[in-house]
Amino acid sequence: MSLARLGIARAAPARRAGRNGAGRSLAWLVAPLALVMLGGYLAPLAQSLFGSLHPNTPAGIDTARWTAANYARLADPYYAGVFLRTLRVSLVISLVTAVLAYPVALYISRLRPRAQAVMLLVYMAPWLVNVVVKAFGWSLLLRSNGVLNEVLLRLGLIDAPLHIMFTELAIIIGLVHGHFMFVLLPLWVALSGLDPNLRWAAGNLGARPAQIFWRVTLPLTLPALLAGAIINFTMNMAAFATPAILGGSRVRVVSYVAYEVNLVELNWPFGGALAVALLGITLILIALAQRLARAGGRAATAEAA
Amino acid sequence: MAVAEADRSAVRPAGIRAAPVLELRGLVKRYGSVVAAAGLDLAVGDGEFVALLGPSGCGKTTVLRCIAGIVEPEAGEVVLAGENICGKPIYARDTALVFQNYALFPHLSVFENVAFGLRMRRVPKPELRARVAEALDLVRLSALEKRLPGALSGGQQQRVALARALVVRPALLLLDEPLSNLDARLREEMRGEIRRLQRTLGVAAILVTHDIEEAFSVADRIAVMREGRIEQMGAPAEIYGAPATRFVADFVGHANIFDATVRGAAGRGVRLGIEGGIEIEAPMAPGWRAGDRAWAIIPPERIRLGAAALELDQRFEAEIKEVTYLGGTSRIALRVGAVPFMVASQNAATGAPGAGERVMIGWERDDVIARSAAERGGG
Repeated sequence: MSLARLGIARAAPARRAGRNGAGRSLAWLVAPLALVMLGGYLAPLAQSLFGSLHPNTPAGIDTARWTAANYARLADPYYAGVFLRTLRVSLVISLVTAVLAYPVALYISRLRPRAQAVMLLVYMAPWLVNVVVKAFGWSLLLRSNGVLNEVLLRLGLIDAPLHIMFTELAIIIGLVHGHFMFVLLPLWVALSGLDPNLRWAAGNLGARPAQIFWRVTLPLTLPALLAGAIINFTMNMAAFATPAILGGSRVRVVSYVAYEVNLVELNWPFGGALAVALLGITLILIALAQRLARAGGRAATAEAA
Repeated sequence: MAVAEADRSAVRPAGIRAAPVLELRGLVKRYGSVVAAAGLDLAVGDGEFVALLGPSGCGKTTVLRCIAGIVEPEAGEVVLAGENICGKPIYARDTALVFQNYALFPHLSVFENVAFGLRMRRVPKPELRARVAEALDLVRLSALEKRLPGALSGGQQQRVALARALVVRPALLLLDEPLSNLDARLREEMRGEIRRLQRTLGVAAILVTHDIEEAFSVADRIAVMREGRIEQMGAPAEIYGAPATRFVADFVGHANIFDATVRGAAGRGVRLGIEGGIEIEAPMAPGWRAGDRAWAIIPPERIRLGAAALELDQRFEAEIKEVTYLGGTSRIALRVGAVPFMVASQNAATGAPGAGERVMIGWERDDVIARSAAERGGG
């Protein structure tokens, strides 16, 4: 993608050398992981895809007959709505995280090395806590008689408790917190790799701090921001525990519905269709984002002409 | 205070007509225990090219950064075009800095890199295009204006950096070791290019370098720096031909520097006892008395060898220790008694003498540069 072309071009020669020489002889090192992925991920995925193309009967999957009905059912307003909500929530989380993580990454990258390590650990800490524990923590804070509402009521800022639990907002809050470092880390790497001379050169040519940011710092770290946001987005699309606990059955997301269909309704073919559709949509959106980024990069260079 | 005033006028060259473009007064900057500028004074005249020459760590880059506004000095003044610009932010200073690593914006085309400073100054579009085109033409890069910096060679990147700095028509051009990342041949070519551009545009410039040849070939005047001070300031020929201190002599590449003791007068000259046993004559310096400690230089290129040495008043028999063939010249290491000498000799068709041979070496008394060892400080 545009990462290699713009920001992190310096790493490219090393990678190329690896592909030619050491790459082939070390390929067997990848074998164990490849086996795990094949058996634990690709096989069930293939099975889901296979199952989703057959009708469900009280006796189980009828593999004798082929059908597209499971996919046609996704257009049902209820399921389409669940998909739209999942997309909306995931996108909002990525956008909010990108906006919040940028200043944090900028701040951390200008600290002294030891302070940087401490601050990164602070921001990575949520990832070290179990997802379910984290989600329950948020529900303690956000529920009607939770800490947030108690404080706001006591301060007289609100008359009645805010209903945040079991809304999209609760999911957004929980996942912005939970998936923050997936945007922060690539950004921090890109920002600390920027040559400080570039900032000074821009300043020396008359750029004020804000102009340096918009014309130099941001464009040069945009690929990293985009990469982080894409990782964050896929994590949001696939998140299960956090939306289940903070959104529950009132604001269902695709993963939650797929869980219900598979394990409550025991309708594996339709559950498979949900899973395949979620994966497909996520992949298409990532491809679109990359194409957009590439076009953006071209536009930036073409500005010269 | 009066003394400081006198010192300041001493560093101002005679050639400067009006007020200098840049004046540094008592500049002080420390990094922990390292002194980068220790009350440094410097003046650069209109259209003048000054080289700050010194070993790494002498503070020369810090001085440049104090002028550009990247670093704030602890004390002293930076006066640019009559105005003290200390405390002014970097973007408000009328200087243009060429970085050692060029610091081109990797996401912007050559054109946009050069246009950057003009966009910041809100120069109208037609004028911007014309000026960028003119600047690129000046550095002969017009054909590459759409390329990204990553697709250029080192020398081309260097020229973009120059064009980017010159296009804003700064009051002062600052060059921070701009040639150190180029190979030898390209370095020589770019040296001439920088000199040509600076002359054409008549812009005052300061070049920071540790490369003696670079400073000699490009600058009108050279300031030799040592530990945050200017050890000597003067025209290249002055710095080489009359080094004020032993440090300067050493740094500008003199060989044959000897510790000596003044023995007494000899006609219009003086007799010096060289450590190691021989006695040479040197031009007389005022105030010297027998017994004074001194040091002396006999430039290697002034020493004659063999038959040519026989007519000279200063001559010694020497033994050749080592001959290094350098093409047009040979570098010959000899010994006169226990005193080691270095001689730069033009290679003749007959071939150079070999190691172990005994030859005559000689020089004129006036070729000897001698200074009192007590002397210290600016020239």
